[in-house]
Amino acid sequence: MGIFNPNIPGNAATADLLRTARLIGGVSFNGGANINLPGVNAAGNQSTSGNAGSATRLAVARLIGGVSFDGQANIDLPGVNTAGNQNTSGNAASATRLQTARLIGGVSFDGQANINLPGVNTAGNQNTSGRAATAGDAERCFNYTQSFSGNWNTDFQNTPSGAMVLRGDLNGGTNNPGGDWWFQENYRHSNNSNLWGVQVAWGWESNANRLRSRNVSGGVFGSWVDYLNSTNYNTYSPTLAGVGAFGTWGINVTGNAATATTAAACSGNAATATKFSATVGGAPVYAARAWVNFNGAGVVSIRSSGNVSSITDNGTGDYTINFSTAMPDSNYSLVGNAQPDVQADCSVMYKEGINPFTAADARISTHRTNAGQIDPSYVTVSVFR
Amino acid sequence: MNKRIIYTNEIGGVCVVVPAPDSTLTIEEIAAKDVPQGVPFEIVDVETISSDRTFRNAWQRNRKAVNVNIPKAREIAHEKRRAARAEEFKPLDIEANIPAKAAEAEVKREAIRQKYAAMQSAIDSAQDVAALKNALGIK
Repeated sequence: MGIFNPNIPGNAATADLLRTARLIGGVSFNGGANINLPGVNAAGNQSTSGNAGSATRLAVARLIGGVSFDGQANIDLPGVNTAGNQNTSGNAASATRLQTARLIGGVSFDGQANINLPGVNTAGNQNTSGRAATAGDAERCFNYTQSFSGNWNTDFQNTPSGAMVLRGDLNGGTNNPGGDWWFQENYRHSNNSNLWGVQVAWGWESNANRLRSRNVSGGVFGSWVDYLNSTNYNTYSPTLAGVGAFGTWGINVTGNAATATTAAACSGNAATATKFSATVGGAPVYAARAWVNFNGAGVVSIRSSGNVSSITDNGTGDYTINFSTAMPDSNYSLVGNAQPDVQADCSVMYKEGINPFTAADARISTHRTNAGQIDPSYVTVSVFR
Repeated sequence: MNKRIIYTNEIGGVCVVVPAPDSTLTIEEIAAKDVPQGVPFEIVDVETISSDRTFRNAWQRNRKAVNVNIPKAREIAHEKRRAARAEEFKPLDIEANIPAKAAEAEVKREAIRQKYAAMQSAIDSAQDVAALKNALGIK
């Protein structure tokens, strides 16, 4: 009896069943019986989302070069295989050569071959006189800080040597230039052990038109100083005194000079002064505080005056001098002269019988010997205090 | 400034305020500052004020006009008369004490008395400034 070897190669010519059942349209089929496919020969749904292996017609006709094509027949394209025009204004998706060669760094390039740029990837020179739009090194030198950490000095401590730092829109904060609303620029230098530089602050809003700066030396900040401009030059008064206080002052000085040796040394005039110093000797010099020259005869009239608003003609040889600005008190000195039309003696006297002087006015009378009070043609009076 | 400020003083006379040409004040500001507080005043043209000051102390204000108070002017005229007579008597008073000249001095003194007696009568009867000045011999 021979050995039975069940491992028989090849296929059976016929079989009743498939060794492995297969799914057909999702329905198991092993050959033992017919099957029905839902949505094909039986009620139900069939997924038709796939594509047919081949088709005689496109579901949606498409335009090719403006000519409709649904696959059922060949088409002709005017300007391509038949007479007509074809719109060629578009660009090719790819090309092996530029229609017009271009210069890159002065070297012609049409796309057919690589090129070399002298001074870039080969020996030669490259013109670098232009400016780069951005540069990494410059960004390290220019540090723009938008936020505020609370201390105006912080940038001097945190930025690298040689940095310029901008700060802005600050109000308050330690070591600020004074009040609100400043933009600040810090320019600094460091020797790796300490800081030198300057802070410049530009004011706006409540500090509009102000410019301040302060020095930093060895890490120590100086005081803020202000710069004069056309809007604030009246705010600050010069304080230079003594030797060296020389120059032409184009300003209106409304205060009083403490001393002055000569009027000629000043190109302008002080609006007011309390006293002058003399060129010889130590005794001070005092200027007249008021003066007047008037005609006391006929139609009484004032020829000229200083710090006199009017005179009052009280009667014959009786006049009151009214000061524009009152004297500090009535303890002043009055000097006067008078001259009638004819050459004769005449004197200016204090008006008798009353208190002749007040801070606001002085009353005088003009006399001629043995003739009593007369009206002189010329009366001059000066007041000192 | 061709304006003046006039007001009546405490003895009934007239004060004339003369503005300074160098003053920066207006005439109204000067009046407010230099006329005594509360005293009525008028601002008038300079032509309103007479240039004849012979009887200045007899001036009186009548609203915007300045007139001469004649009775006061007579008193002033008499003062001027007495002063002038005294001046004329002075040398004769000395001569009257010198026996050689006493008689002649007395004649002159009498003439002076009569002259000023006539002047006194003329002053007393004068009714205006012109008559008073005429009596005093002032042209």
